[in-house]
Amino acid sequence: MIEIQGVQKWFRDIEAIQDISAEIREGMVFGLVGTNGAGKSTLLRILAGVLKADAGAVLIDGEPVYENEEIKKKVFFIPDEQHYFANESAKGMMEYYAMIYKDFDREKFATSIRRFGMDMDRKLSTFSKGMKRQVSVLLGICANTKYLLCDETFDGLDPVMRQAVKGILADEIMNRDFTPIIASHNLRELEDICDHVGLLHKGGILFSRDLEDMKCNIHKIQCVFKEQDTELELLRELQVLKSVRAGSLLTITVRGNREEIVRKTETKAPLFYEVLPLTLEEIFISETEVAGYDIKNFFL
Amino acid sequence: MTSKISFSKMLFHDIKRRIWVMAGLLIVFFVEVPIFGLMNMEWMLSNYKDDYVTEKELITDLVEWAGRYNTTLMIMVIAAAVLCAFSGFDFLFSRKKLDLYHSIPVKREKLFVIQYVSGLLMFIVPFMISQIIYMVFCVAQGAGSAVLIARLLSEAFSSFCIFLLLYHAALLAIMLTGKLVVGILAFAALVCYIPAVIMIIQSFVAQFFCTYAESYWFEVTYESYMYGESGGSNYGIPWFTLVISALLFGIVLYLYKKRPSEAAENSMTYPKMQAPVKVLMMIPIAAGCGILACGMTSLYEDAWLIGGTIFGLLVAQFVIETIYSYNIRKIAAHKIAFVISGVGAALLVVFFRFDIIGYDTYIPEQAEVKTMGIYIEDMGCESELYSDEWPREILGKMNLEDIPEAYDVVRQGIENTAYLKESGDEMEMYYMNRRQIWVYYQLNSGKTVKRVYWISLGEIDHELSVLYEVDSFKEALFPILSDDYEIANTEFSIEDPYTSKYWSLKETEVQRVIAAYKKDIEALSYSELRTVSSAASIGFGMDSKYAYYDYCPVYPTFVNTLAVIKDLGYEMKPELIAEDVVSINIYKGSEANVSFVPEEMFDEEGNFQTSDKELIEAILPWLVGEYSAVDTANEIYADVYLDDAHLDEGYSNYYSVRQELPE
Repeated sequence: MIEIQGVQKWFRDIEAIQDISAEIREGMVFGLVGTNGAGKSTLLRILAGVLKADAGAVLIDGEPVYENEEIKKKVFFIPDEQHYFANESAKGMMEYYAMIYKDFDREKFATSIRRFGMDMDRKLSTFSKGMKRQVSVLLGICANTKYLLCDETFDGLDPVMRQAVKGILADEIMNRDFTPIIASHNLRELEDICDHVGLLHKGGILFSRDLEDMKCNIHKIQCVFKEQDTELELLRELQVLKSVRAGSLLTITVRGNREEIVRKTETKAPLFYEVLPLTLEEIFISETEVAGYDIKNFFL
Repeated sequence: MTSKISFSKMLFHDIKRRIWVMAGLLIVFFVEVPIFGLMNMEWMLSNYKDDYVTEKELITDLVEWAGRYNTTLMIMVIAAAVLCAFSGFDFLFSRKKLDLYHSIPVKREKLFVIQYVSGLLMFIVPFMISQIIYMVFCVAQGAGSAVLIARLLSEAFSSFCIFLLLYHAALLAIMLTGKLVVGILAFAALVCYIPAVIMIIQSFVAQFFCTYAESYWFEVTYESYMYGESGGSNYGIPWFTLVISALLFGIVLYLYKKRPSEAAENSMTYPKMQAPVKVLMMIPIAAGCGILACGMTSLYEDAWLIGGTIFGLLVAQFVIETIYSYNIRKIAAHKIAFVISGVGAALLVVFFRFDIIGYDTYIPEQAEVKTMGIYIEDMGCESELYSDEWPREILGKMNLEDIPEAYDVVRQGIENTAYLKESGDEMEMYYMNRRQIWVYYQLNSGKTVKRVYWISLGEIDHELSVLYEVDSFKEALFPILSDDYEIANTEFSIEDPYTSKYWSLKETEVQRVIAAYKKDIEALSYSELRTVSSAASIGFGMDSKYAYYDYCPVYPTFVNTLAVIKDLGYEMKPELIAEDVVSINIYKGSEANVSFVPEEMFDEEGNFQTSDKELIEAILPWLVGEYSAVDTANEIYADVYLDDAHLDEGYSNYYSVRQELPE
């Protein structure tokens, strides 16, 4: 388990992270979402032991990570821009990481590289951005570490590759003790893979919740009522986060149990109603608006 | 138990990663040391076979080629230090690279040692390969001997010590900075800082401390630390650099362990260091610009000194802040540091300009002084010294004790210094026929103090006549009188108005000359010394740490010396003979008066020329040869042209003119 306890980080006179606390349980996929400059990369670099927190503590399996060789053996960090040695091939990088991480699976790496249609012996400098990104993900996965920190990992991957990488991550979670932490500014990237999401904004964490809990707790209903009074009554009875009217069509975002919401809606005898699925993006916007932040412009 | 990551594997990987450094260094060292060294060796061996150089000179030359005396090789060593350090730790300048190096499960100490050792090997392997090949070439060419190989190994070790110091300086520069360009600038600043500060202080001292006696003391001291104690023209092993390197290793390792990763891509690793570093840089830059401006002009020196200092301060502020922030809008940052630097530079300038410590008026209490030494320039024998070293050896041995006249000489010197400071023109001292007098105090505290003054001999005739009776003083004027006077070889120089040549004599013949010369010197009185003119000298090669040659004047009264030299085959003539003179040209300044030639005979430019034998005969007694301690007139000089038949190698003579004829 990763415990982040009141972590602060300053870059000279800029506060990059302000008092973040969170827990990342083993076996879950943790999504770290936030706008550019929210502090995602900084937090991941602290988790990887690259940066030292100015205050607070980061514990991995109960021990601090900074300058802790044994703990760092359990962590592989894929930064937003992976460095490869000059004139090095995928094979060369594999050998380097195999030297560093004792459980590195050379065979799996070679197989995966071939599966992704790349050449082990070709210089990485001749690879496209997406190909380099694939190599870094494969290196991270084949290092067989318990924790994999991915910073904007899906950035630069085409949709097919994105799905393939997600598939590999899912397989790993199924087959071994594996906890990926994925940072992204794009909610859509994380929607179908994360179990838990933490939202960072301006160096602080707005909230950190299980995705399923959030999805179960917020719903969007489109409905049409004959009488406006009935409509107002319903709005008073439900915990409405947001309501938009287009002609006679009312769209409301509501917090609460799905069955309860449907029951209350039906009692008002609407001419039409439908419960629509919410995207992660919509959930976030609603949640952040409730928290007093207007950040939809960043996500949309 | 968890397995450890192999140190050797990581080291090997790093060497493999930057093998280009090793390959590049191997090529340049190989070309410079064994290849160009072989070319030099062939030439030196041919000279050795033809007896143009001795075996000692051959060995010295071969050793010098492969070590610190080879400037090209030293430039390569500096470049190698920069390359080895920066290629190993360049990841500290890049966030991307740092994410890799600092996220892997390797402790910083271990990572540092891997990169450090790998950098050392980058240099040691190609350097030693080139040195060993050079030694093999020496042996193959027949120049190899146990002495040569031992000296080559010692020199290689000394070069390695220099590399080590530079390597650590480069590492320190890397640890203190976060950008490659700034890192290289920091390296240059670290390496050049002490020599530059020394140079600036030396310039201030030379400009404002008129009695400062050791013009190269700072440099000599610095060099002795950096290159090893100097033994004559040879350097020893620079142990001091090893001490500094060991110290720097500890500092650099500590800084690396504490270095925040976020420092990458920032100019300075530790923002708190910016202001102190700025002050340390700005004070010498400002003061240096001031003294440079002051030294470039002879008018309004104070105005240029102040203007130059202010200019230097502003330029340094602009450059340093631009480097710090890479933002021209922030050039006015660190205002307090700017003010401190300005005050510091001003204090430095004031300290020297107004001689706050009274350096030029210093005279120790008689009770404090154990012994004294006084050496007078251009009086007695003249030593051809290594560079501009002052005659410390002679002065240190003089041991004058409780002689009030010695103090009177110093007082006169201090009085003249005050005049010199007021006029600000050293040339005026020459015009006033003043010459430099070195004074050396050995204090009871063990400290030694040296000063140099400008004094004309006429001002201290009484004092000198007393001192002249002291044996050690006379020995300083004529070192040949000393019992431990040792000549280096039997090559002997001879110079008079008719010739200038080197003579190879037998040792017994040289000893005859020395014995005769000593006899003549012992008979020479002070008043004779001050009135007799000589244009002749004999010179001996010295086996001294400080001098190559001693040129000793031969006066017309030195009958014993002249007789021995004549006996050995040359008739030496210390004086001009009128019948040999074809013509004389006299030049005089506008304010000079010539008593022995009517004023109207000079042209508008103050030149006078005559071939008249009678006039020539009348003029000759007024002329003063180079090797004389006679008072001469200001701004009057003469060229004497001899009949070709009397010239050995087409030789003409330059003379000063007496103030008055002796009785």
